[in-house]
Amino acid sequence: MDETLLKIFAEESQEIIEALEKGLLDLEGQQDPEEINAVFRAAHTMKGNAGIVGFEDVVDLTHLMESLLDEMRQGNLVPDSETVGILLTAVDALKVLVEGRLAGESPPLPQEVLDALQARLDQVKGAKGGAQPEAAAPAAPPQAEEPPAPAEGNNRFHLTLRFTRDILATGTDPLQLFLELEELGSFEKVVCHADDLPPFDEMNPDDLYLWWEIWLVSPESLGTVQNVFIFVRDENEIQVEELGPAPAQPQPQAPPEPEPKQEKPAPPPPQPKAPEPQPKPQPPQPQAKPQPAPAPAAPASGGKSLVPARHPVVHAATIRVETDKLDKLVNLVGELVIGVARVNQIAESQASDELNSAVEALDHISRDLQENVMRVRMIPVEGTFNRFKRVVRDLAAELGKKIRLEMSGTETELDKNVIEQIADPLKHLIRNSADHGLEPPEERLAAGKPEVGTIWLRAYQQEGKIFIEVSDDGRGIDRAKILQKAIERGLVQPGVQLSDSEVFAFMFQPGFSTADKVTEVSGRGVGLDVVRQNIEELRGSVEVESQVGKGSTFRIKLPLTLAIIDGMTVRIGEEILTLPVLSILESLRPKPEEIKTVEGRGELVAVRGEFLPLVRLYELFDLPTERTDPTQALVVIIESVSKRFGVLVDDILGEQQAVIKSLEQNYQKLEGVAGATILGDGRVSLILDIHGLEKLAFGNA
Amino acid sequence: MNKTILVVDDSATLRMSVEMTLKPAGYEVVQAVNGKEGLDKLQEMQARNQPPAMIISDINMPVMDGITFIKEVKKTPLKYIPILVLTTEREDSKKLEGKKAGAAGWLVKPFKPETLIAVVRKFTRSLT
Repeated sequence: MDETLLKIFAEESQEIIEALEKGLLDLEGQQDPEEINAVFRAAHTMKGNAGIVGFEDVVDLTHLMESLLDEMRQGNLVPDSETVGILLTAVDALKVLVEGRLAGESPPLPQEVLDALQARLDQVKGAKGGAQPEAAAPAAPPQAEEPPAPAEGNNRFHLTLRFTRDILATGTDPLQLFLELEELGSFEKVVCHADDLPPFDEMNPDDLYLWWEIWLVSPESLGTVQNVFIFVRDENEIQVEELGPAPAQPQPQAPPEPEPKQEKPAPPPPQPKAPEPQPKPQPPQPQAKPQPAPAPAAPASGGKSLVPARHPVVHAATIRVETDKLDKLVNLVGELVIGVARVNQIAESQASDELNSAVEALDHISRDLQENVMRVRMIPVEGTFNRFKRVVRDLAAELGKKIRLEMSGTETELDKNVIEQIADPLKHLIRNSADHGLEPPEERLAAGKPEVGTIWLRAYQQEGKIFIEVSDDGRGIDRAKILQKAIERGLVQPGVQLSDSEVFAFMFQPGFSTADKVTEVSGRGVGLDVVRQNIEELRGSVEVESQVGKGSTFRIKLPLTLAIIDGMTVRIGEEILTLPVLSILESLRPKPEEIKTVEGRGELVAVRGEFLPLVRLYELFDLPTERTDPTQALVVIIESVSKRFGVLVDDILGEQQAVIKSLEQNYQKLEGVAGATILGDGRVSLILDIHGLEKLAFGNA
Repeated sequence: MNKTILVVDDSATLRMSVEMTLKPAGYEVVQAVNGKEGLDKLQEMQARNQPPAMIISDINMPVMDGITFIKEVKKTPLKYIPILVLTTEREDSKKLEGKKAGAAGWLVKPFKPETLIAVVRKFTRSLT
């Protein structure tokens, strides 16, 4: 199989599977014909595609799904949660099957899924069967006029088939027509006439010299039998006569007809070189049955097709690009921006107006370019959000709760890498809301709330940052309980006044769980600390708001992109470090009385009446500097998820966008350092990682 | 000789496989993802005075299905262009519907490359 085709198939399959899942979830409990149609189409396309790449097991599975959805489309089946459940399971199986096949494995056929689909289908067909037997021809069967039809009401037909001589050469294979005919009933007799055969030396191997007569017994109507030849009857001599009802008993031997040369060879006899080498008559299979077009032309020039073609000319509004290519592009543009910044700096020292304005223009363009390239990597959060519909549905079932998921801002765009990495933390927060936040239905009713709990998933962009919120209208977080637990664990001294957000921040400590009982869903030891860590790895932050009885909101704040950081450059001695602006609250020069050392808490700095830990960066990173007196230096107040603290720096140089270069890739991982950037003057500045910094300064944060 | 073929199908996999089949046989393939885009493409091609030699269309598509698409094509000056239906549908009622709408042929997916080429040859030859 061609690689290019498989790749397209893989991409499209993923899209279709997502569409199937989303569509099914939207479908549940309602009957929107448009939506049903869309889901049906998705299954239909999946089946067609699987046929093209030859994944027969996928065809089988999607065929059943399609049939079930078709019943739904025709209004014979309601998309109740049971049926949707069966179909969702089938989507899961489909995913496994497709992924397996694409990986070159042959995963076992999910028999129980197939059975469940088939059972549902049989059920629908059975229910329908009473009123309108499936087998009966749609066109009024002739029982009415004809003498009482015996047994199944079979009719006999006599067909005379004289095809044009060049039919084989034009891509139509009579065998296919015979096979299709055979599906309608049984052949009583088939006679192949070879009287037109020329002498051997005059024979053209591509021509067809044979013609046939067939006696068919079928419950179908004349019209249906004629329809087999819809696309060939204009150019070929096709006659179909109805001979009247067939006797119930096995046919009395063959009706009178001229010189039977061959007895009952159901499909046509061996052809002189048929265009499609299909040696033996197979039982009609759903896939292998190309219905010939009306007498097409010219012998197919062998199977030398499927020569790997160029990438397709995609005449669509979008094109697919590998993310690798994009990453490279982003990287290169990053280099360009750095290069331009250096030129800029040199130009400034040259005092040439002409040079300066040229460089300024260049600077402008390169930033524009960078912004646009970054935007290419951005994709809407919709796809990720939609996946949570399924998560919530499953959670509700598992927990015995009624949960509605409301989403907004699904068009909000985020860097593809960020989206991929944010999915897990979000899922965790949603589980958390469903499990700990929302109450069981009885409890909600008792509290005067609607029985169905709601989880909101919102995304929006504000001030150059992306916010994603997970809220619920559940019981809220019990502040006192968390404080109690924090005191028990020695995270805080009793009697210390803490704000709500400081109290809630304890929830993100490792191993911190207030759940009274551990459930299947959450509380498996993987706690909110992992969520925090994931988010901080994305250079984001998370905060919590909650009101007892009303619900909670977890708000994630993320940078627009991971490739660029809004950095604050600070100096320590000769060294220039970059701090992420996102984490900076303010900076100040403390007065002598604002610096204190407290036993067990280390050095503290007072910020508006509150004492925060002070970290001397030069000590932490062992950098030589003169300014070791805080009152002569500056303190930058940093906020991480779990705490606020001050870092001591010599000076603040200014804000600048920094293109992040991975240290791990170019050197090695350094604790507390997220990466490096190249400054305008060509010097390297390390970008500090706040979470790592906190760990470094306070131990296991 | 005109060797351009318009392929209308919502499946990228199908469009790709048709293109990969027909290109080596010397055909140019223009793709459209549904009937509506198919009509737009036809209009564009006509405006450039380069209408396709034939159209290959799916039946089941979003926005505008194949039957509607065929009917619409038959209302335009390009109604002479043969349209081959390439679909997984095999029911007579569907075929009849297609035939009535004006389809010239019917091929059931998945197709054999050599069959498709032969059919396409037939149609593109008979045109001129």
